Amino acid sequence: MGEQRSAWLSAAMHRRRFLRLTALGAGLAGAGLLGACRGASPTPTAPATPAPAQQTPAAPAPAQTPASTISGGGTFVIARLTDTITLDPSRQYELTSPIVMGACYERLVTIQPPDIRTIHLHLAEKMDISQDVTTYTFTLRQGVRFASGNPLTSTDVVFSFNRLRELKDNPSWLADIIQSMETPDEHTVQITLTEPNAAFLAMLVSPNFSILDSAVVKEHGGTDQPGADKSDTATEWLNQNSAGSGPFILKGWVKEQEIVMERNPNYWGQSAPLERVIIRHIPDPTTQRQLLENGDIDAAHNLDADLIAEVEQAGTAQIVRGDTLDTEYFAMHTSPEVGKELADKRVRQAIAYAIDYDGIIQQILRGAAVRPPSVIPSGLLGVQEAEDARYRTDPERARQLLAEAGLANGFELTLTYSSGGTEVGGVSSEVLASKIADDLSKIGIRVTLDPRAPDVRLADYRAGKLQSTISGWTPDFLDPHGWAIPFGVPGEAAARRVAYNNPQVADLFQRAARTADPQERARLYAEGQRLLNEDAPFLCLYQPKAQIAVGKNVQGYVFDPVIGVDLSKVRKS
Amino acid sequence: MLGRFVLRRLIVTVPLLLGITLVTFTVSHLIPADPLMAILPERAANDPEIVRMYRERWGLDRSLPEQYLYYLRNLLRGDLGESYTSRRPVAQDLRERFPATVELALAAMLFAVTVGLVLGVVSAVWYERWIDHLARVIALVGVSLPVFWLGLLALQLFYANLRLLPGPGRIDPRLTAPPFRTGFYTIDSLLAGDFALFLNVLAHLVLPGMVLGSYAMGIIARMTRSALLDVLQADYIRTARAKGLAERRVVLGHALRNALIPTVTVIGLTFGSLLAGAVLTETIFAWPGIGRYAVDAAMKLDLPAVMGVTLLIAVVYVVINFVTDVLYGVLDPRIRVQ
Repeated sequence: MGEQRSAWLSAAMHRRRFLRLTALGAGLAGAGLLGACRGASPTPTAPATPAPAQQTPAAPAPAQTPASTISGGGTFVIARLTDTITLDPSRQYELTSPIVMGACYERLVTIQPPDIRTIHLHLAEKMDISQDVTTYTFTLRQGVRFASGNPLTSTDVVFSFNRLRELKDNPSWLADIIQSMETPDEHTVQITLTEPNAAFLAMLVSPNFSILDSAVVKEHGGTDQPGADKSDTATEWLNQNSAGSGPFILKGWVKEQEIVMERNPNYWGQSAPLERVIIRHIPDPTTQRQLLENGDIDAAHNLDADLIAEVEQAGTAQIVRGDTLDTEYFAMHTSPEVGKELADKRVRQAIAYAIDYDGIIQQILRGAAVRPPSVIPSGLLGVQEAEDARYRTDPERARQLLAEAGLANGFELTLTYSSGGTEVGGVSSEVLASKIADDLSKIGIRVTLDPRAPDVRLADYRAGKLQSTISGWTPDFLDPHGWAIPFGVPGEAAARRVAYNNPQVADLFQRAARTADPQERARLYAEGQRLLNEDAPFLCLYQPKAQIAVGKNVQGYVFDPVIGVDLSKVRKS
Repeated sequence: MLGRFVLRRLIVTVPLLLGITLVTFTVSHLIPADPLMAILPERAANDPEIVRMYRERWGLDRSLPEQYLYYLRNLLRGDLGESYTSRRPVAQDLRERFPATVELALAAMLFAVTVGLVLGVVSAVWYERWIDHLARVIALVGVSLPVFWLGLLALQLFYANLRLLPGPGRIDPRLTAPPFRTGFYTIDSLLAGDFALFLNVLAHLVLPGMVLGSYAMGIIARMTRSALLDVLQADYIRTARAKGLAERRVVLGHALRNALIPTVTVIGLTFGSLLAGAVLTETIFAWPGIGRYAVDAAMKLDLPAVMGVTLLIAVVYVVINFVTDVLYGVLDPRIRVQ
């Protein structure tokens, strides 16, 4: 989904910031005045394990504990700026729906954050990947039942993946890589890809690859046959109900108001402590904070860095942190027509050395971010291995490179940004653009700031019309492949916008996708990133941390970059 | 006679609404950006086939005049088009959100009219006494304090500190919405037989209603005061007093009725502005109404949604003006005769 998400949210964020600032200006943010939580929930009968924010959750072994012995639940309310347009697993492609997908549906494989490199089996109990990374064979776990009581079989897997592809909706491209699927028996699925792709396993972690109860979906008009984009009518039902095997079931959705889920009484694994989860659409961060501190909600998802610092200082909530997979980058057009001076690689490198990355992270994000060496987020395969390719701020080196390019006296650069917009991590576009302009002025580059309406900027950037801009990228799936292709291969989403073309980089990244051995893949990605950074069409500025404020009585809340949070692990005391 | 009046008004309304559709359509389509490029996700925007499909689906492949005629044709069938961002009919979005705004505006109006009239009458009757000064200060505060500031202050005081009133939202966050029948939570909760929820809904209307209604309250108080002061100088009031009528009957029975004419105009106009201008209140109180919908739509270049909401508000204004005109007639028979 790339940039669409951040643009989507930017408009609302601006207003919120405005309101927040007014609130602060009015001197209302007296943290000491704010009270403690209202209304205590019943004490859990099960021993409450103290779960620090970032503790690694236990392995998802299906415990045999009967559901009735678990408690510590009640209703859990998440306040969030929701962007839901559908809750059909095969159509949803927004930011809020994955939380619902994570709670109501399950997938063959999963991750256990904060480790996002290791992929664990979930609905599958065994898998076998062919040497040429073209055939993936999964043996399904025995005894898994959907909330409806139907057993989960290989037919459901085939139905779900076929439907994803045939609906021809936003996420359908994820399944285009599947050539055929075989079901030798009820518990075996053999998937053959159109071409070798080592990223496929990571793709299966995505909510779009949730396994649906084919009987129930068909009953409500669903189909996985060609032409499903016209003939499938199950979405309306799936928007209000779920057909999954997860620990929760969807009870209803009112657009931009609430999503309601209840504990699945027939869950095959360990029953969730929470009885009910409500995701409530509350766009304003100050409002979220107020509700949290008054005990009316249990988690606030959209507090910005300033509010997080205030809440933390006041000690009125716990802060859960985790690495997102979002990245913010500075893009420079590489053609002489649009990029002008930037067409010279040395000039782009000079800029890479001139930017004060630590200043951005410390001053603007209050330290709540990391910076991977290239545009591929840290935590993924081949990123740690490319550590040596990282640019470090060095104005001396920058001036030297400019001089070598014959621009010792600097030049004029236009930096376009979203007027009133917000970048990933909740950073104001103006603030970030000004900071970069300031950094560049120190090596003699005279920056003209060019604010455009967020959607206009995005459209112009996509059309390849901007000399330089700041932009964000959000993940499609959990593999470096999801960044390597759009940024490194000519004509693909991001590369096209700055006319970037280096066949060597493209070749390395495409070869990495065909390589089975993780070490060799990591090496290829690292090599590709080295060359990409040397060309410097994109400079990663930061990768923000997720910061979520949760009530003091909440335990087991761990940030998950794919499904937001595993709600089955959350409890209240 | 009233029938002819209504008919004349209706005939004037048609070109008015048509003009509004034309202006909104033209302005929103002059924006120098391609909505598809802004709305479609990464992969889709990169795929000419998908872009072409969406262009066709939303009629963006036609010429502007053609698009406009197409829009009008659908409009006549009650079809406001499909929202680019929610992928749902705009009419459905509005049906879900408009009741929230109307409910809030009615609460605001109730507050504004009750308090405004009382303050106005009290001011006029006890002209230049301390109570008049107090009432005028309250009215001035209502008129001059910005709504967002008042809203944040009210929440901090009554919700966060004193815990007297519930916080943002139409219901407590831990409750769930009543089944959708009318979209008015007050009515829907009663229809669902959930009286506890009904009380919760009412409690949630108090703060945002007062905040949103504060401006109208101030205006109504001032308008009532000055109109009543004028009327109280009139000859027929002196006559009434001379005939020995009780002051109470003079003011409430004779003077107020005539003083209400300008007030009714103000009430009508402010009600329209409450519907259209509740954006800030809706933001602060996490209220899912059309004000926020309009702003979000505009920011996202969701043209059908922008046009739908504009048209809705225009219709509301037309209806309100019409009702106001009729009310004049009821209050002042001389207007009816003309």
